[in-house]
Amino acid sequence: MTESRRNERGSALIMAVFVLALVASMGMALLFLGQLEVRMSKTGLQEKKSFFLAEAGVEDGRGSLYDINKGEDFSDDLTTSAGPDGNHMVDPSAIRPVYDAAGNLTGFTGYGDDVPLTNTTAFGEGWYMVLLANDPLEQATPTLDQNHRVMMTGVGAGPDSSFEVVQAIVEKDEILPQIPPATILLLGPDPAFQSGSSNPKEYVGDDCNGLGGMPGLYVPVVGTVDTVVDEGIERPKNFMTGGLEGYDTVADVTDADALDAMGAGLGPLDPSWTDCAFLQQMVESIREVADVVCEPPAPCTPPPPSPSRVMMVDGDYTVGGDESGQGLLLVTGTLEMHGRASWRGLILVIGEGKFDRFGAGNGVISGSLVVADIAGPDDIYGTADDCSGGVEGFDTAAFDEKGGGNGDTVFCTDDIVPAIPIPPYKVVSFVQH
Amino acid sequence: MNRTRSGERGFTLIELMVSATVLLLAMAGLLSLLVHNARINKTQRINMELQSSARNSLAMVVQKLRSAGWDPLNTGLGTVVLDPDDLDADDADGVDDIEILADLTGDGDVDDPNEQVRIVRSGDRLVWRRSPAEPYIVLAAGITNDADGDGVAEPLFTPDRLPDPSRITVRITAESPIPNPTSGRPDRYTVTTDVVLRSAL
Repeated sequence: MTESRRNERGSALIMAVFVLALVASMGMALLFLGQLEVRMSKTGLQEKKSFFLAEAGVEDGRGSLYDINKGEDFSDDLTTSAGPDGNHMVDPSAIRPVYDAAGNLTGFTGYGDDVPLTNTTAFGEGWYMVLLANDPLEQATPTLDQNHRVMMTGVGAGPDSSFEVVQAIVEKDEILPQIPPATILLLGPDPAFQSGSSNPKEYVGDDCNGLGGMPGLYVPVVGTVDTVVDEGIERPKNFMTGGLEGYDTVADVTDADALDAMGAGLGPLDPSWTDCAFLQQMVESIREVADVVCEPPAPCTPPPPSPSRVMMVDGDYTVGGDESGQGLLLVTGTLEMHGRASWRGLILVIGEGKFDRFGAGNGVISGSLVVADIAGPDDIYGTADDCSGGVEGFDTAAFDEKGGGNGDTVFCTDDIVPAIPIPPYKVVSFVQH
Repeated sequence: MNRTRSGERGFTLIELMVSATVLLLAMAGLLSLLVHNARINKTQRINMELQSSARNSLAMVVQKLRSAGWDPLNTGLGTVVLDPDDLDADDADGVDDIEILADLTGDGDVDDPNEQVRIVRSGDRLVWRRSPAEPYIVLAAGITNDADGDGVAEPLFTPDRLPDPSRITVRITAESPIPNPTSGRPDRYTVTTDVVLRSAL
């Protein structure tokens, strides 16, 4: 009996051990697979981290380059980054991270004597560095930039020695076409121009009234496009362009011969100004870079003018009596300026295309003014019928000045150039190595 | 001694049958537990493989998409071509076919390997080729892309706008070939991400 019991107990134990072993082996297999999965996921995560570190480097470099370059060509930046030998040694396959005994990054190797645009910088759980070189199209001239494009190499080093290199070609972007060659440019057919009814102000095509600007440059006071200038234009006697007054101060700014005859130094109008779809795109681009975007009836507070201001009003806007501003002002509705109000820079009234100036005063507009009605048959900008009315999307642009005073409306490149916004440098091409 | 022996007499038939029955029942219970355990184990292993292949496929697709449009010589290369053969343009399937362009060698064309990568969902498999001259390779199986189980696959690639997308949502759903023993339905695992086409910004 005792022996039998012992035997029974033994078999139960064996069976229990067998079953346990089976279950345990299954569990172990699952655990192994799970661990493998965790390891793979971790590796994938580290790769992602180092990729985003490298990309963060490119973004940092893009911002730094914008700050130090200020929209000029990149030659001086390329000369600095090339180092003493004057050549860029960036080779994505040669760059390697260097770690100390504690596992902290001490720097990178494999880029010769190049001077990084952004030195090794700790960020989040890793580090990045950015190198600058001319874009591949201009590799033959490492430090001469003529196409406003450069290549940035972002190097990212994340946890557990993970490492990534990305490259981006960045380009200077132009939002506005070339400066329009007229003090007041009225785009579209049959432009309506009404000058002051009492002691009218002066309209001057001399660059900055002969004080500054480009010596000898003068432009038409009212620029039109393919329009017989006798119609719709009321010209007061105090129109001035260089030595010319009266009739010749109004010109078709697309007619190179007419401009030559007047001695305009800017050349004929950039065709983009007569492309309705381009203007729509331009309005949207300005919206993106504007310091302030107002949407009336919400109140509109102009941003501080330093260093320059870009202000967009998506609707009607009034520049009050004693107000003065500078920079780029874009209004898609009707722009009203009171007689004492002043503006230095570029005023774009593109949308409904109506500019009204009321009351007497000595306010000065110094720069250039462009008026275009591209709002379509409903005369509301931002609707589906924009660019579908009139001639090739343009209806009559209107400039109406009531009252008078001593102030001028003057073409002035010195005020226009600082008003042209320089958008962030654009990534035009990107690769992960 | 005799007494003792008579006291230790053998089991009766009834005792044996009862004990055998009890043992059998216990064994049956244990066996069903084992079978159930093995089934769960198998399902979990399959699910793990499914998740792994879905995630790996996504990682590979994302990596290719990030470099879409790399055009160092400024030849005017685009970024991606969605549904290049227009095979399923009118289908509810959406876009399951993409071609990713990148001049990685910087020679002005996209004829080299990895420069014209085509990724296609074909049936329940995700396949790709690295250039038009190369054959298609299976990236992953079990990619039904039917996350809600309504029998209609969701699009693999969804652009934010057409033409010239600036970002693409990639959505990969893997489905287990055998039903889950608990729910009786196949398990589905979906991974999705938005990829910004950096060259199109």
